[in-house]
Amino acid sequence: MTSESTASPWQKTAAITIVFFIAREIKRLVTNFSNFVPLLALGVVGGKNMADWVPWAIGGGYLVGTVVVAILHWHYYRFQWDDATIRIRSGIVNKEHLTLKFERIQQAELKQAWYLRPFGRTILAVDSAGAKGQEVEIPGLELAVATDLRHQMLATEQVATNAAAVEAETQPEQESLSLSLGEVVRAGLIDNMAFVVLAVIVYPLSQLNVFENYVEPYLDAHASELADNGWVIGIGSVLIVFILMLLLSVLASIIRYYGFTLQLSGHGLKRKFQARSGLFTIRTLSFQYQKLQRVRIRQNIRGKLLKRWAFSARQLQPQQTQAPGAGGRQVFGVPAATAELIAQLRSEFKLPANNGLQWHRLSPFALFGKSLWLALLTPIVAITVYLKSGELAPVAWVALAYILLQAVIVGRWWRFGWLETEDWIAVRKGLFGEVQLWYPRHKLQQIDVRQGPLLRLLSYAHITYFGAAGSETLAYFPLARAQQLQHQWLAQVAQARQPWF
Amino acid sequence: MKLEWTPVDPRYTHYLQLHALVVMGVIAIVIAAQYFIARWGAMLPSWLWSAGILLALTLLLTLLWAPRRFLYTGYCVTDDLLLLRQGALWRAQRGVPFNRIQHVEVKESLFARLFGLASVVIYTAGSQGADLEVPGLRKADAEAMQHRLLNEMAQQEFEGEGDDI
Repeated sequence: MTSESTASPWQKTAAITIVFFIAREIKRLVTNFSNFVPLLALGVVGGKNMADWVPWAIGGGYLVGTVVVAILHWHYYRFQWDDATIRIRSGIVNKEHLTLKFERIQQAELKQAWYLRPFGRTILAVDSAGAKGQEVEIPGLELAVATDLRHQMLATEQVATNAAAVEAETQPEQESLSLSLGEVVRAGLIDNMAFVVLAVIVYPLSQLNVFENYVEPYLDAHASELADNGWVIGIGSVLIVFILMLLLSVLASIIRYYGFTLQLSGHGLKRKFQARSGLFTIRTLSFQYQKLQRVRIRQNIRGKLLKRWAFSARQLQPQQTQAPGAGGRQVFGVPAATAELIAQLRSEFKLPANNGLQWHRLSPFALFGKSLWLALLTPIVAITVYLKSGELAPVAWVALAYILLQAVIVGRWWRFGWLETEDWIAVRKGLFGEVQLWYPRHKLQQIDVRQGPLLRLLSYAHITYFGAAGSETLAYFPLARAQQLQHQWLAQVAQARQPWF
Repeated sequence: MKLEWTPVDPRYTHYLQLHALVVMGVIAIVIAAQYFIARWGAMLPSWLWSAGILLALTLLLTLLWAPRRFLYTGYCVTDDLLLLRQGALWRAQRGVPFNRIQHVEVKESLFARLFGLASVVIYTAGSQGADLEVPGLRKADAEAMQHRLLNEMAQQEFEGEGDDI
C-alpha cells in the first residue's frame, strides 16, 4: 500500500453503503437481464416436471448471492485522495485501480440517496473527460467531506483556467431561484417520459394477456349495457390511461424535482449553474458555461396549454457504454419554466431573445423526398386494400390518411427553421409543439456535405453538423451554397481559440 | 476557395474489389447452403437464377462501383483542417478542423496490408467511434499524415487554458 505524503490514508466506506452496493448489484442484474433468458426458458420448458420449491430456491439463491457479492464489493472498496487526484481500488476477483486527476473532471455531482440521508452521508458522482468518459461513484462520504472534495475538484479546474475569468462582468456573486411545488407538478404534466415508458411497456403487457383474462370476461358479463355505449367506453378507457400516465408523470416529477433550486455564481465563461432537487434522493448537479455544447428549449402541446417550457443544457456526452450499475447520466436543466424564466435563462446562456429571430426555411425541394415515398406507397396500399375488401369505402380512408400525412410533411417543413448568429447555429422543429436546439458554432467538430443520386441530379446537397452533444441535418441546399456554408463554418471553428470543453 | 484534392493510392481500387469479392463470396456460400436444406430448397428459384444474379452483382461491384468509388475518394489538407470526400452513388464530403481532433490512429486491416495500404483514423470528442477515416494510403503516407496531424494538434493554443489541452 503506497501512499504519498499529502495523500489521505486508504479509506473504507461506511457500513451503510452496503445498501449502495446492493442497489448496484440489482441494477446490474436488471441491465444484464437478457443473460438469464436461457435459464428462464429452461424453467418454462422443464416447468411441469419441476418441484414447487425449485424456482423459489433459484430466486432465493440469487437474492442471497446478490447480497453476499454486494458485501464483498463493499469490503474490498478503498479510496484515497490528495490535492490533485483521487484513487479508487475495487473489485473482488478482478481488482481495479483507478486514478482520476481532478483537472480532468468534467462534472462532480452529489447524490444524497434516501438511505444515506439519515446518516448524513452522500454519494459523490464524478464524470471525467477521458477518451472513454467514465462515471465513477464514491458512496457513503460524509456530507461535509464530499462537499469539500467536490469543491477541491472543481477548484483545481478553476486554477488551471483562471485567465478566462478576467473578462468578468459586474454581476452579484450568487443568485438563486427555485421552483414551487406547483411548477414541479406542471413539469410532470409536460414531461414526455411517462408516454415513452408506456410505449415501451405496452408490448410486454400485451403478452401477459391481461385483456383476455380479466377485461374481456368483465366486458362479456356487462355486454348488454356496453353494446349501446361501446364508443363511450372506448374513449373513456383511452382517457383513463392518459390521465393515469399524467398522474404517474407528476409523481415522478415530484420525486425528482421537489424543492428544485438553481444557484448561479461566477462570471463570463466561468458562470456556474447548480441545480439541487429531490424528494427522497437529493441530487446536486452543476454546470459550467464554458462546457456548454448544446441548449435545448422545448415546448410540447401540454407545455403550450400551461405556458411552460423545458430548458436543458448539455456538455460533452462521452460514449454511452457506461459501466454496469453506474448512475444514469443527468442532464442539467429546468423542467418547467415560465416565459420570463426562459427569457432569463436565454440571456444567462447568451442566446438571442426569442422574438424577431430570422429563421430560414429549407428549400421546397426538402418536401420532395418524403412526399415522393408517400405518393409511391399510397397507391400500393390503396390497391391492396381494394383487392382485399372489394369495396371503395376503405380506399377513401387510405386517401384521407394520405392527405393527413402529406399535410404533416408540409407542416413540418413549414415549421422547420434554421439560423446562424455570430455565436450560434440553431434549428427549430416541431409541428404543434416546438423544439429549439442551439449549438455554439465555434464548438462544432465536423461538418458533412452529402449527396445521393437524386440530389446529384438536382445539384443539391444536405449539410450535417456535429457538435460534441449531437448533430443536426439541414436538408436540400444548392450544392454551391452547401459547400460555401461548410467551408465558412469550418474556417470559423478552425480560427476559434476559445476553450471548448 | 478552390480545394486541391489528393487522390488515394490506385491500389485502393483493388482493395475495394477484393473486399467486394469476399463479401459476395460469403453471401454466395450462405445462399448455396440453403439449396441443401430440403425445406428451403424447394421454395428457392432455380440455382441458375441465383448464381446469375450474384454474378451480375459481383461484376457490378468490382468493375463499376470500385473504380468509381476510387475516382471520387480524395482528401485535402489545408492550413487548419482536413477534408475527405468519399462515395460512389451516395457521396459525402466531411471536414474536421485540426483543433477539434482528439487523437489520430494509423490502421492497417488485413486486406489493406495485402496491398501495402493503410488508413488514417481521426477521432473527435464525444463521438461514438471513428469520425473520419482516410482510406487507401500507402503506409508511409499514412504515417506522414498522422505525424502532420499530431504536430498540428500540439501547436493548438487555447485562450484561458493551462498547458493541459
